[in-house]
Amino acid sequence: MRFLDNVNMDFVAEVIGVGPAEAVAASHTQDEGYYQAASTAFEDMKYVVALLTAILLTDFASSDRGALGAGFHWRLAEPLERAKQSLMTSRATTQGARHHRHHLVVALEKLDAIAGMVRDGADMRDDPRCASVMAGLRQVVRELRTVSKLAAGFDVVNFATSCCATHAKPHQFPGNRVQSS
Amino acid sequence: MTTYSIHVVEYATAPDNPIGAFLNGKYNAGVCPILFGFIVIRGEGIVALVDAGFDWELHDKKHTSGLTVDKWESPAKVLQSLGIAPADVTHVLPTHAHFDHLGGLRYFPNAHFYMQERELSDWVWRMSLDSRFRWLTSFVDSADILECIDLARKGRFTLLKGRSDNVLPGIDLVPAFDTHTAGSQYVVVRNSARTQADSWILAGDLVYQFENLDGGDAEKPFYLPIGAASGSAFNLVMTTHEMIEAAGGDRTRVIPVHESRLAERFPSATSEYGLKVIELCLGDGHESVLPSVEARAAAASNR
Repeated sequence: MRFLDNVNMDFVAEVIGVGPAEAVAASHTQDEGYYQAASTAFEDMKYVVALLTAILLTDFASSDRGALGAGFHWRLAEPLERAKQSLMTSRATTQGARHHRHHLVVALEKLDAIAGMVRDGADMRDDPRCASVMAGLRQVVRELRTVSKLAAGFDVVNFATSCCATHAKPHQFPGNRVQSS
Repeated sequence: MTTYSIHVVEYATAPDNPIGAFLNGKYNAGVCPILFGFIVIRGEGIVALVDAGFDWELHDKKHTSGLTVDKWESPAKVLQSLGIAPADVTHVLPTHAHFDHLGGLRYFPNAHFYMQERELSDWVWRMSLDSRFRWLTSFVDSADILECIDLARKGRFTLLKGRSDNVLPGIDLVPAFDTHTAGSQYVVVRNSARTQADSWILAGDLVYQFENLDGGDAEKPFYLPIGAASGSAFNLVMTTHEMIEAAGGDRTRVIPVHESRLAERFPSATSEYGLKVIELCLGDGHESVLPSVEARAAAASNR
């Protein structure tokens, strides 16, 4: 229930052009499985975006092109495959969930194509495909941001553990005793 | 001769933040507000920002877990207080790669950016670890790094290898490795004929609050490191000492940009957006901006 309890229905309603009440009604527990699978896919896709970004950063801005180590490109395959499996085997039934899934699928397809371009480890500085890789990654980031706005629990940046923005809300770990300060 | 005017221009506030994140070991000390601000250094044809802020427009305001921000305003609005626009910014000196220091790159179309290479190369190295190490990379938004790459392609992004004196006239960038982050840096403004006299230290997140500089004991001060760090508390303490030394021993010249009490220590005014403009110092020939900030705020409230 982590996601369904917190789906941003105002935003969903606005995007898909229905009233908030209808959007809320459409959010049925039958999509809990979808949101769990989508969460796995989302985290894996974020990881792939970060890996690709690290590869590009190393090519363009770092003096140490060996920083990533051998086989770094190869690491893209596993999370991508897991994201594909998560999305392929999940079923979104409500309009809100289908809309959510649509953006994830668009992002995944784009990400898969980009990963194919850089997987061979070529220096992207000299690669004519660089511009499309950059543009593609930007599109993926935009899609992931949209996904994050459609349901809670899909954070692009983990603010909850992030430096000065660490929040005051108690974080509940299993079995711990939360005491407000 | 004082070369630069230096202002802290608040662009957002966050009301309730655990003090334990700011003061090491103060786990049950409650919460406090923090400010998010640009530090603006102006003079000699230079408009330099320390840190690029964050782009709250891109994040879902009511739906993002783990961060409560109120009163966020765009750079275009808040920099009006100084009579400048984002396009006037010539240089940006991000102290580190966290989202609230690097997330506003896109707002400054004409600026050149300077960061420590290690801040990014360590992030890359940490990305090469498996998912059990993901906490080490979770503070950085890949979208911000994409912006860095784009800037590097355009020749507007310089990665520094350690200390760089006179990056701008009288302005030094000093690394503080393995402290708040792997490759944090602080900014030294030598404001009097480019000598150490009249220096200001713009500390980024190496100190969050005044108590980091004196332990809350003005009579018998000690260095109390910040709580939120991926590097070493030891290095933070040593860097705090180094910064105060660089300020000629005057810890009030070390500026913690998230410290909401800066407005109590230095002259300040509240803008029409309810955000502070804090005047640390004025360069020769510059006039205070505070009266005009107050006048605009008064006019806005009368509308």
